[in-house]
Amino acid sequence: MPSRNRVSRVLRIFRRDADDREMDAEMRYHIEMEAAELERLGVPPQEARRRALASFGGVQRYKEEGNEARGGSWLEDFLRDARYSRRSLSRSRGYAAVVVLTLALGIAANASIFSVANGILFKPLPYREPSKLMVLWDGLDWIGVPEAWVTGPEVVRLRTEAQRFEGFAAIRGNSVTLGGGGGNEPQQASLSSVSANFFQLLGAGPDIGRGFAPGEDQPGAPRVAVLSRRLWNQRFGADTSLIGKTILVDGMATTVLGVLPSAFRFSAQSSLGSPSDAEVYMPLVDTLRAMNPNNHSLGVLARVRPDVTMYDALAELSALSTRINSDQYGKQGFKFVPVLLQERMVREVRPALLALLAAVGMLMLIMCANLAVLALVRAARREHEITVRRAIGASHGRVTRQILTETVMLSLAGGALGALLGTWALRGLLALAPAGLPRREEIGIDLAVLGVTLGVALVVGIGMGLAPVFHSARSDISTVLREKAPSRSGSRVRRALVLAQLALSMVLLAGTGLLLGSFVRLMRVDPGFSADGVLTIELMASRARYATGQPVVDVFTRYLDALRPLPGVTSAGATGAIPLSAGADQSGVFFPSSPTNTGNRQHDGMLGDVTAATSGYFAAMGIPILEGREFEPGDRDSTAKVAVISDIVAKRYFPKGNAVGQNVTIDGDTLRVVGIARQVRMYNLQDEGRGQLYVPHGYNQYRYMVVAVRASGDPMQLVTAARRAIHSVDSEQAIVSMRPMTDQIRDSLAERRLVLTLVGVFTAAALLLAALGVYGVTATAVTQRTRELGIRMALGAQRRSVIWSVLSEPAKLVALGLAIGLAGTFAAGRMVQRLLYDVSPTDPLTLAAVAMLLMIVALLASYVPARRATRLDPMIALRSD
Amino acid sequence: MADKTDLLQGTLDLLILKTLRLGALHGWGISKRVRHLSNDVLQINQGSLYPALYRLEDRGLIEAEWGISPEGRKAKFYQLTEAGRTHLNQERASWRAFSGAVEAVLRAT
Repeated sequence: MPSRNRVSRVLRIFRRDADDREMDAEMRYHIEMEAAELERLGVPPQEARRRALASFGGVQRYKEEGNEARGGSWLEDFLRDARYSRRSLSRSRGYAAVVVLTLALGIAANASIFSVANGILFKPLPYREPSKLMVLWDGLDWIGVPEAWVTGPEVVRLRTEAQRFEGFAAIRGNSVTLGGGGGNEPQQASLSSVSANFFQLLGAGPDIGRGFAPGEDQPGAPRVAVLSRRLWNQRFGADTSLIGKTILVDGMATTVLGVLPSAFRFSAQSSLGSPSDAEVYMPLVDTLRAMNPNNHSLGVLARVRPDVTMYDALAELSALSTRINSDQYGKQGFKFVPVLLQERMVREVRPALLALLAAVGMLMLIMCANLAVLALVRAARREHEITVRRAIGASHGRVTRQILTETVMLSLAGGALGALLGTWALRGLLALAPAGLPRREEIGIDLAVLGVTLGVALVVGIGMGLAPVFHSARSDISTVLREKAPSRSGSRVRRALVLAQLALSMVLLAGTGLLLGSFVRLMRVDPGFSADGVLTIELMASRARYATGQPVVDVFTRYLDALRPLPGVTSAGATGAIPLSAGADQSGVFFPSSPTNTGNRQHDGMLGDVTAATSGYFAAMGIPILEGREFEPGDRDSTAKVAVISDIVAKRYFPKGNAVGQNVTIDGDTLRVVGIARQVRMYNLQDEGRGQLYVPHGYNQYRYMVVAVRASGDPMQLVTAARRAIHSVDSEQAIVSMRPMTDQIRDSLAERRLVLTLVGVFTAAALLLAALGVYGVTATAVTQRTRELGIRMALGAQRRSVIWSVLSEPAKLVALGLAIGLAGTFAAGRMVQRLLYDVSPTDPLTLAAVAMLLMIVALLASYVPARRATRLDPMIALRSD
Repeated sequence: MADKTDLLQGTLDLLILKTLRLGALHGWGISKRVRHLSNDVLQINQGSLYPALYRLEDRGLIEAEWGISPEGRKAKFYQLTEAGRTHLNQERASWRAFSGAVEAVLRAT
């Protein structure tokens, strides 16, 4: 069938006026001819004209139908509707502003949270085929370590026996000193030692120069390094000629092979605690075969072959696990624990993000309910207008489209404003986010997020539009024209919406209550040390200046001796790993004389957090010594085979309490327990962590130590004097950082604080909206019952009984909302479970408290209009309507 | 008006096309001729004639031209296009098939 083409359909809009005139002329001609005909048959002129008009029907209606019949009219209709909507909205600016602002705020919240979640959880990692990448852990469940690092010999077996993998790279984190000597300021940099195939497995590597070639990790190969972009920019002034030249790393000449792009990230090597990116990559010298089979010290990156399914790869891994379990672990239950790289990198933040997404989603639902209520109220007010338009011949479809146009316009405006606000909110959010937030640089408002935002806005708009449309479709024209009373069905829908708001608010409130409870309990946790007044100074003794062994220990002794006499310092000491730093090493620990020993070495041993301490450390960090003694200045060389163990280690192996004086073997070497210290929180405030053991610095001779200085006043006052004291011992000592210990606690709570703040804000908004909903329902009920209440008061009803009769309805609503919300809370509680500390998701006290709060807020919101009812003047009330 | 038969949905188009087969006509003329040809039984709801005309015009079955009516007034004349003629033949065939079928059913009882 030939049809007008699209272009002319659109062009037609511009000659619509001409069309209109033609239709007018044509229809007028028709009516005149009909009238003339009737006159000829003897009807008087006036009557003839009346009859002609009547038999023709509504000119306007047929013109509209004519326009529709001509096609191409949707755009024109839209423009006309848009003009009409603008006029009608400008008559009710308050309504438009409330709708646009509500939507904008809801969408901004949604868009910013969704952007963060999208960037962190859902975007693929910037590697080749990231879904084929995984990291492997040793699962040592029988000693309570589900994810231990992997041993060297195990990596060798993986490489030789796992055929369905492209390869395995071993990774180990460390720290190196760059430069030094020759007026070259020494600098501490984080190092990742990786197998030569590391970059190739990732499918990402240097964009300047090259990565490691096969064989460059073999013993005796020349020393080579790849630098991060940041380090290259900051320390080497982005000098391209550096490639191929040598720099000093730990005092040894090392050739720079390449520089990584700034977008390169890899931070999966730490087993616990916050991951950090390395600044220098060097080959991990491949002595894997010869490494101690009990030393779990390697991170492992694995890539599944492209032609192998994940299922087959995991099956092979599991078969190999079984073999290693019987060869190496006496069938204790060893297994490799594979974790997808993406999952690994975001695991810590995932529960928090999902909870935030759920919270912001619920807030959005509450907002939608609010908007629907607003739309219903507006529809009720406009019912008359709509009905009149239909009565003069506007088709139902036209009215529907017109209302939809209005709401879609509003929601698009809200969506646009929301996207703008969301961009700002996202910027604020990222500024507030804890430093360790993974993939931070990949977070941005992107097209996907904008698409979702716009989609949400449109769905909301159409939903808002449809409610009154169904409403007006059902209403009978003549009924509405006769009486002005709002229809019953509208108020039923409205009560259902308010009910939903109340229930959702209850769920959100409960979530906030539980998170707040956890936060308060965490703040009150005894971390095992006292952070107030402690300054921590990270130092690394340069390899170039201090030979491994006693010289390293001695220089730290001199630093401490220089710090102790400073005014305000009450004590000073150093350790390899301060609390909350996740810095301790893990070693196999065994108490030969423990009464709990069963004779099964795998059962009796444990993986403990082992680190160094100097004399004075426990006092400086405020860690109580519960029994025995701390280290003394005499425990200062490698012959000092003494150890301080934490109370939970002592309790596990010597439940009767005679641990001091017993022997302990750490990585096979025997030491004597001289004291018992309080267990400190090593990883975060919520987890007790592994059992802790301290050895004297003289025993393990760490290069990297953190000095703790306890001051009687503000520790930051000490910064200048401490720096001077350290440089008086060695003017070239690089100071990695100086921070108050309280920062460590604050940082460890940063993520929780952010989540709590956001959820709290969402909840407050939800509560406000729910209160508005209850207020609105009650206020409408009061208005509708004005006459009845007036009569009752005229007949002498007490104020109180009037208030109660008004309040009974919202009270029922609130009670029902609470009940539904409570049921939802049980479901939602499981969702936030991983974020909770020491609070059950169904904690009755929290639930009762938030239910009470919601009840009070809702009843206050309905009390205001209820009181107004009692102030009615009976005479006015009776006359009203 | 009770003795006047309402038009079946869709038959209006057929009637318009058939009327125009006899020559170009303006809107009022079409409505008059339908009444006349059907012996005043079929009564087009006069206004609804126009949307139908515009629809047919949009589909290219008829075309319109402004001209002068016998009364000396300016009026819009509609006439069948070639496509309209073909369409009319098809529609007439299927209408006959339809009405024949209905007739057969009515006769059967």
